[in-house]
Amino acid sequence: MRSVQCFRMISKKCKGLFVEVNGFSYQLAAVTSLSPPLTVESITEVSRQEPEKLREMIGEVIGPAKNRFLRSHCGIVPESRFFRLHTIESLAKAKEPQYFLDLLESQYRINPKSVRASAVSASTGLGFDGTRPLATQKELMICGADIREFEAFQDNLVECGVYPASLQLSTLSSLGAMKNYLRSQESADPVLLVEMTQNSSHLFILSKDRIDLCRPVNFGFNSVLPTIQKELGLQDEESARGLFFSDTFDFRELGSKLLRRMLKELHASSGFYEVQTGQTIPHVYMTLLPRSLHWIAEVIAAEMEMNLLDINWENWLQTMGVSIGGDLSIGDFDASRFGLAGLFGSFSGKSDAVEKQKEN
Amino acid sequence: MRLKNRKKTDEHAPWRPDFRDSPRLPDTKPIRTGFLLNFVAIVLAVGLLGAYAFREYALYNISNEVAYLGEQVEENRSGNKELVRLNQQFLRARNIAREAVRFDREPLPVPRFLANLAESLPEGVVLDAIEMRFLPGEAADKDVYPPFLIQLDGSVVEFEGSSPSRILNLLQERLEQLPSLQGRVLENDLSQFNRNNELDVFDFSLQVRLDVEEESGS
Repeated sequence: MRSVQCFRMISKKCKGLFVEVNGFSYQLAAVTSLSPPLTVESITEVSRQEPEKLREMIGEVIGPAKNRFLRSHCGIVPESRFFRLHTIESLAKAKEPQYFLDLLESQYRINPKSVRASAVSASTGLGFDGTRPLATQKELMICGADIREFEAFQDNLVECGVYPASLQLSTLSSLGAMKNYLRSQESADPVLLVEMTQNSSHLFILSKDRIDLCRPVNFGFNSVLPTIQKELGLQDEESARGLFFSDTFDFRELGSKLLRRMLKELHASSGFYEVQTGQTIPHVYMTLLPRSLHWIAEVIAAEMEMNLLDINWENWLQTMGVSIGGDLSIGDFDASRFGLAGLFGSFSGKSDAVEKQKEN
Repeated sequence: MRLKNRKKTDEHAPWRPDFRDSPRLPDTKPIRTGFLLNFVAIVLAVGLLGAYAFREYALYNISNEVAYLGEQVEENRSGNKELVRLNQQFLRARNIAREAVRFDREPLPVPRFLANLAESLPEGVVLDAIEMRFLPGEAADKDVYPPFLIQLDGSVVEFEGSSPSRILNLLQERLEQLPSLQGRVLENDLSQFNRNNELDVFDFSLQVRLDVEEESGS
């Protein structure tokens, strides 16, 4: 994996950062405020393999002292992340302290002692609260990851001079962001959201009202390497890896072959959804993809016969109270930056479903 | 809601549950806050201590002054007694002297006054009595002479067309002009004026108050 070049340094006037840490890079947005309204002064990428560069960059803003930090909201993508949709049948039962711990263990085969997890409403994104009525929190998204991964990410950020004002799951934040985007565009269409990392993927089907479907897929970037090696007659998987991430080879022709397993899952889930709801899914969107792998999104869109969702960045950032400053332009925002941008907004806690009821 | 090891609901922003491990975070804020609190507390304590010390010092100084002045008072007490005694002696002597002076003092030159009066008495006026005295009890201050009263009692008749009241007015005016009284008349009252039917005259009583100046050097 070649090192991603930093093309913008952080201004000394920076008041804080939004940071997304994914499998490839630290993505940093230097901002004037950690809550909207805010201005993004610069966006910088530093390779995950070069944390000392991040430390250096931050040191230029806050000075070399060890106990000085830049406050940041951070979104991370741990490999052990999990997302499950769950329907609450009885609020009384759900209020019991052991309910979710038992759920993790018995239903999802996840050891509750080894993970940090949270349950949020699939429609509002607010944490489950036993004192609130069931209406807006009947459908929950259970999410979390291995404690050790959370700790490792946190320690790593702190070592680089980043003080996490929050440590979020970038995936969840992106789901909220997509929902918010669809709402801002008043789009009633569902979207198939796909995220892929080295060893795992998740697919979500969501609309402006709620997350309807969520499925883990046992498929990641590493899954395509054997196929690349075989198809191109390469010596070993390492060569395949080098080629895959190098952005020198056009994999589009091989695309459907490489992504066959993923496409199978996508077809299955979208088909299931369309049958259940009678609604076709016109759009697909992929997050966490570096620019060099954007072809994956294009292949998936083509194979699924869907449009790649074209985000109206200017409009959306404005609705979030985010403006652009410094040398940035709207063109600097694309799918590879969606996760980062999703950290900016503070999305309304009102349940869209509740508001819909009010309208009716 | 964080599922593990949390009893109460954590309010987080929508879609943003926080997975930080707070004990592992670097301790930045508490140090600064603690430092600031300590600093403020120390400054307050030092300030209060300083104020207290200053007050104690001032109190000590004042006590010393009081003691010193007390000593001074004691030292001067006998001298002061003697001075008070002398002063009382002096006052007694002064009062006696004043009385003597007063006794001797003529508030006005009586023979000259009587001569002036006789010359200026208008026609139609007959004097029955002339009384002259100091008005007692009017001067509160012993250093100031009380006013001197001259009371003229008599009767008046109409004369050559002038009414009795006009004649008395004339008398009053002339009295004020008398050389022996000039400039010292405080009041000039007709205290009584009534018809006497038996004798067909008007009885009157005229009171003249004089301002008696204190002679210097008496």
